[in-house]
Amino acid sequence: MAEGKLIKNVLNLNKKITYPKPSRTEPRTEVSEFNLVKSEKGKSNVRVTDLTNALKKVSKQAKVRQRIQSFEKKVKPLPKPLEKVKADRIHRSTAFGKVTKHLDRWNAVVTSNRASNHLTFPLQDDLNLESGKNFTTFRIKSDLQKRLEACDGPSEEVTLEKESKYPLTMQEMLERRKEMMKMKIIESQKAAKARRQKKIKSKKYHRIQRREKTKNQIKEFEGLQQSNPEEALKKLDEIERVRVEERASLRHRNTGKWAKNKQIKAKYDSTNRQELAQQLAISRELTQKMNMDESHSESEEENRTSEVSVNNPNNPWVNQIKTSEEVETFLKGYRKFWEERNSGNEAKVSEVSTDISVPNEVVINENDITEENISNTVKYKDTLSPIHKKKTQDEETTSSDFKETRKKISTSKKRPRDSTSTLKAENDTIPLSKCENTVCLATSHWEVGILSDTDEDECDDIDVLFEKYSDNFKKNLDEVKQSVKVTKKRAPKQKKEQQKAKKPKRNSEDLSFKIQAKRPIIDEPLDENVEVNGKREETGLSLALQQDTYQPTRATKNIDPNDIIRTKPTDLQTELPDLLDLDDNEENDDQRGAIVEAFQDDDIVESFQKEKHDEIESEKPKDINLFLPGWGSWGGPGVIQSKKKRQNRRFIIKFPKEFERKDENKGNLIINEKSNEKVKKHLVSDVPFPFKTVKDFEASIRAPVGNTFVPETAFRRMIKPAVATKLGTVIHPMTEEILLKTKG
Amino acid sequence: MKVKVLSRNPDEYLRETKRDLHKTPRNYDPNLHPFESAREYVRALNAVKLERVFAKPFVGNLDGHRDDISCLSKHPKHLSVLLSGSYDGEIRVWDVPQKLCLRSFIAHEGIVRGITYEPNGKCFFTLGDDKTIKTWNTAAPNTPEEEEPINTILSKTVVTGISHHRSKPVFATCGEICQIWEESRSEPIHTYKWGVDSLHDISFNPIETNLLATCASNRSIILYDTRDSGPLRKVVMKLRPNRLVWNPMEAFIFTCANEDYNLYSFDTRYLKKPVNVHVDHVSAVIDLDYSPTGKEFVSGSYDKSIRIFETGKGHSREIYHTKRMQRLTCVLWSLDNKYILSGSDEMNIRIWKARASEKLGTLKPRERTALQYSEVLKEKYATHPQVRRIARHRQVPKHIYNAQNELRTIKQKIKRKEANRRVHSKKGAVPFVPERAKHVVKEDI
Repeated sequence: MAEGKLIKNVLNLNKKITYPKPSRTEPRTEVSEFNLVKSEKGKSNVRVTDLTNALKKVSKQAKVRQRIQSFEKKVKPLPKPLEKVKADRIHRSTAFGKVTKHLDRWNAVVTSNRASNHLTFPLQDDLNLESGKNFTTFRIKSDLQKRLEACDGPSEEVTLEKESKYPLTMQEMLERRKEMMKMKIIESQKAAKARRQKKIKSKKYHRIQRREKTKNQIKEFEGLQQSNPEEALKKLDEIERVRVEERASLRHRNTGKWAKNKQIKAKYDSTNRQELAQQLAISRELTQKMNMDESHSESEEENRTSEVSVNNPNNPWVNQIKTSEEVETFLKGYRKFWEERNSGNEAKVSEVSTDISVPNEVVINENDITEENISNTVKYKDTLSPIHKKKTQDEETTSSDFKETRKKISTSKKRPRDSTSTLKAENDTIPLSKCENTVCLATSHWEVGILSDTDEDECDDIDVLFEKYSDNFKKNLDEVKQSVKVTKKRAPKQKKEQQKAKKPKRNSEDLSFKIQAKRPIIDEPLDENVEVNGKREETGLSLALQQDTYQPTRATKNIDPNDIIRTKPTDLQTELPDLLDLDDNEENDDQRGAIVEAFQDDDIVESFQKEKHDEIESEKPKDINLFLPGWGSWGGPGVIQSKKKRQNRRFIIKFPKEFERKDENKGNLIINEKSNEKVKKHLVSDVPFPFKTVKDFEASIRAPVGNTFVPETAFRRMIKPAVATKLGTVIHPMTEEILLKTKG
Repeated sequence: MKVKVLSRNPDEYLRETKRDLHKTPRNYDPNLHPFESAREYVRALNAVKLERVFAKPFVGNLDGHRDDISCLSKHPKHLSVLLSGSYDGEIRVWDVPQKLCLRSFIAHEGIVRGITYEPNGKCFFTLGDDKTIKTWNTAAPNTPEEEEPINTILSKTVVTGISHHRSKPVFATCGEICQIWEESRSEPIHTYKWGVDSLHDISFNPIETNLLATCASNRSIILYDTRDSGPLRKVVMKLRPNRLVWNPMEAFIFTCANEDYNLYSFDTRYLKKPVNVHVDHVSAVIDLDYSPTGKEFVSGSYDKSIRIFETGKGHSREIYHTKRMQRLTCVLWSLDNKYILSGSDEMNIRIWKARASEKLGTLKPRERTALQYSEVLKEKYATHPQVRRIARHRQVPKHIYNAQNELRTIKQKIKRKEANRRVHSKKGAVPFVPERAKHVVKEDI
């Protein structure tokens, strides 16, 4: 026996070790990972094809076989589950969403409880009326029952209280199952999405994704622009930086259609190669310039505006720095490309009857795009339109260039011009309706000729136009800059407003009304201090407050308005007669005369001034002399105290000379500031928290509460406590019964 | 000669018997009461002075434990019963109004980590450092020698906290992992784990009974749903939360006592920042408990003081302390909203009034209305400087006073530094961060 085993083992030495299939022995909550062995695929598994092959011979089952095979084709194996970490996260987030939704049910109750002025605990809904336990139900007995009772005594009513086997009813179970299913579905959807997105390798997809992202960003930016310009600027900066970086990396990199066409030819033609190289050089130059520009804030702004509004990478106006030479070199290539293309297409165009609707569509599409651009850059609307014009202008220049070099080119003269003009028609948004009409009515050749004529006129003075547009552009830029500055200044104010507006938005589920303040709310630390030998030590808080109160020095000196009034009045030479004053003056003069007569001897004004001066002098806190006779000198009879020592500065505590008074600049007015010192400490110094005006606060205090001043019923109502509890009663937490039950 | 005297008919102003309601004719015309506001102000001032005179919150203490109190539990149905566990493994059952110990026995080897009553109050669960969860009958046996647990569960992991479901026979424990137990089973019905950190506190939501929250030692709060989903969300704070309690009247609000001297109230739905930050303690806050009305909560701190906070406010309305009370380990608010119980390091359980100057016992109607009236007046004139000064003045122990000063200087220093940094850096580089946003590090999904 043992030998046999040994031999077997020895024979098995060469073979691969195969683990046996795991078999469960004992039910456990935790499954050990060591028991999970990858089963050998294909060896022991039963394949469906094998089974169906068996059916091949039986003609009866052909249909079954077919069906199974078709199933096998259609049905794919389930995807591999997500990583556990990721799956868990999805699971948690969906569950949390569900819980928050569930918790929202309590909003109404909580808000009403918070807002209510009087609450009695335990809450009324908490009453524990367990139905059927304390009350016996009385029933009218039927005749049969009565007769039966007569026969064999009163029958005991047996109420069978069946303890339900299941804690939930069928419906509840179903509902719960439904909910679980719903949650699972949401979860699986999310998981599937995550899986899908993770897998995608397509560059295009990611590009689209990115574009969508930027679009969203721009949309966000627009929203911000209205509400919070400062934030919006920041956002714009960010968007721009990303865009600029991307653009800088792409422009003139020979990735466009034109460049690709060139590349094909570059094998055989050195000029093509040169052109491509030139383009690359331009790109390098451009990117360098871009970096330099970022250091200058002003030019940066310019860049920003230009880049926001222009999406065409080939547009020479994207960069202000571009010289006309560059433009020309660029255009040359572009124009050639178009020539060649058109020459290539010529045959086709002649052969195939042009579909009328196609150019029409093109026009509309272009128009759509431009509209999108406009909506994307609301703020820079002003700059936008000239740029668009320039865009078209760009195309015009191509045509003009073409004219200049037309002689050199051997291709037919009509076709290229024709094509450029159609191009023009496509791009030009202004004569849209006209264009549409013409295209719809007739062949493009004939009508377009007219348009191209106008082009030529414009093209003659291209330089003038260029200057005009560039000026226009600059002007617009300046305007934008100014507007940005203005919005920057306005930003903090708007920010506050926006926050105010934002608040209710965040608590969109917040059901609470704006509570009108009835009583002041004090939310401040207790005034805590230590008792030291019966004496109260001053609190640190009050000390800190004292330190904080900083009294600014008075700038103005005492100015008596009477002195100022005494200045000589200057007569204004007017033609208007002051008729009204005449009578008054006469009366006044009479009165004044009487007064003057009465007090001829004493000068009232002078005496009042003197009185005020005396009052001020008397109320002025005096310097304190701490000099004690006998200290630091000999005392006793016959010793003369030196006056000098008495006036020593060391002993005198000087009071600040500039002492503010309330009646300081008020002329003939004396305010006694000491009269209400005792009342002062009982008075409120500033408006307490929830109140905004003194009037509101005073209104809250004005009405009396006591039953000496108001009727008893009102008194009872007003003194109702905010929270009332019952003595010796347990207050249980809230239950779900308090929520109103809704159907479904 | 005729002498004029005031004479009235005694029928008008005398009552026939003592119990007769004597109707005083009153004229409420405000013109006849020119000093009404002044009189009410004086009444308010007197009321607030009397309030401070009568503010004697300490009711009594329960002594008998031979080691520090580790945990307290209130009976869900009876107000007079209190359970306490101590560091030497002893459990005591108290009759609070009589200040008597009804029962005492050694339940565990080592510290008793948690006690909780079953919702009916028929039995209670204790758990200790010996990794056991024991069930005890509420009814005492005839002799103390017969003290035996009804059921003992040997847990595979360390257990540090327990919380019972409000109505179902289900309870949850925390420790290395969060476990949900059924009373009749010896194996947990669910175990939840998120991260490797150990949990030191757990509490069931009393209203939304399937919600559960734990505090983890990596400074985080984890929410669970016991129905089917398990862990929901995690909030990581700057310092460790010690204890977490749900508001019994607001299903989505919970408050945690933190190591950074503050308490934070959270809305479960928006965990990014707390709804409110409750400051004032000068040392780590160890425990808290909500009042059954859900309007206030009490907190016990390592700074040897108890503070009472209103849920909507950031500062405490009251501070309790005595010379002999040491570090607080647990606090409770009684279910009738009248008393506060505190257990501390020096083996005593103290009973306090929830409102310091409240008169206990039944009140006669006139007295009650008078008290209510003075309450309203105090509220009305709360902002007047004299009333405010008297109402908010408290004597505190020297160490708290000094600590407050120190904290104040620290805060001022931080503020100053931030302001300086703001002045000397690019605009917007040092943003203004609201206090509420400062304490949450992140919200994990």
